[in-house]
Amino acid sequence: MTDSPGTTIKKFEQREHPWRGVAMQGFALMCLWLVLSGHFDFFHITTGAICVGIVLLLNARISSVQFFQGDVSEWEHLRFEHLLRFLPWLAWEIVEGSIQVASAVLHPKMPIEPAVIRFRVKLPIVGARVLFGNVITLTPGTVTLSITEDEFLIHALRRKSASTIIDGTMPRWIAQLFYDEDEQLVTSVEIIESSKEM
Amino acid sequence: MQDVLIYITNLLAVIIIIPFYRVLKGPTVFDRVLGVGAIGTKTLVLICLVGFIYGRLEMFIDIALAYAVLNFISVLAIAKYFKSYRKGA
Amino acid sequence: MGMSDMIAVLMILGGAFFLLVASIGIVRFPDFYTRLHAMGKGDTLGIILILLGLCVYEGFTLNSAKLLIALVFVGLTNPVATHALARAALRYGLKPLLKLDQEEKKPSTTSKSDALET
Repeated sequence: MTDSPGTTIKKFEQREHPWRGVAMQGFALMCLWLVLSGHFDFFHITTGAICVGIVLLLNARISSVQFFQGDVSEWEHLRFEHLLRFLPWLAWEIVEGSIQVASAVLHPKMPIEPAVIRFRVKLPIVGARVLFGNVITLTPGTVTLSITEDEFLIHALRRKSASTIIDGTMPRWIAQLFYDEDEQLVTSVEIIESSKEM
Repeated sequence: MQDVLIYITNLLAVIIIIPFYRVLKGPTVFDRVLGVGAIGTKTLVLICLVGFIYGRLEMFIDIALAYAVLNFISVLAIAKYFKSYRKGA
Repeated sequence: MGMSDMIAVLMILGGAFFLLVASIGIVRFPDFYTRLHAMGKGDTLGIILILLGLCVYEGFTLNSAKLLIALVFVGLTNPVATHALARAALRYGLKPLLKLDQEEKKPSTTSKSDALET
């Protein structure tokens, strides 16, 4: 870690809604139960509620585990009003990425110049980093290879296909799902174009 | 509509055969696992389409969900297993 | 065929196209890390499109809710599986074939990779 995580973590220390994460999890699990069971009578719903309660009890300890120092592991900071803007953007990125792969595959000469890019990104929330890794894989021309603390290693089909990640627009989309962020998120970018340098 | 679904299912069966080349030929073991994973995810769609053709979607969807979970876990387990190996060691 | 059926067929055909492209990509791409692109993107969009198309065809029922669950599950797990494979290959020491390596390799004969032949 280049800078101490203290300043960013301070924002999340006071938990405004301590039950919000549990409530979201329980709601999602209950929806899953109702859809998968397909019966809506009293017996099935009660059984479902008991099962959801047991799963929530078992899950309660997992949420307190910290994998890396300075992580904030709460999904309860997710802001749904930003999710509504985020999902259409994500859908368009997925379509664009697939079209790029399709054009590269179907092109007879296959115009690719693969590069590996290493960078650090400042996203203190674990969920945000997981989401960012998945979004990198789904968006045009890039695949996540490895995530260690805040250091990402990605593989790009072309060097310029990683430009939206390097200039920080893509991490900003993810960060805005959780909190307002104005500073530069991506630092110490390193582009590797020969496998001997790895 | 039923005919269209049958044609698409046949097309999908052909599409599923293509990654077998990677499974049989692939230079590294990871290419083979990748091929198996790709076949597995496409099979999920095939199961859903077969459910539509037979008109028993509610049963086939459950099978497809179980298949998706199984495929995901198996790829993760194989990846985890081969992570402990090192080249030349 | 009504309007919604036409949309469903178009979406399923589009999904089948992307699955086909992903399959060809897995065979055609030169090294393991580029093949990950075909699996991570092409497969995910193909499956999402086909399942959405089936949802549209099915209409507003419990089955389409189940299809949506399958869709969300695949959309979340396919990138994770891709990432797990990439990380395993990286730990194992498989070197990616990058831009400068490609230029180096062109004059000489391509040497076969010595990695974990089975």
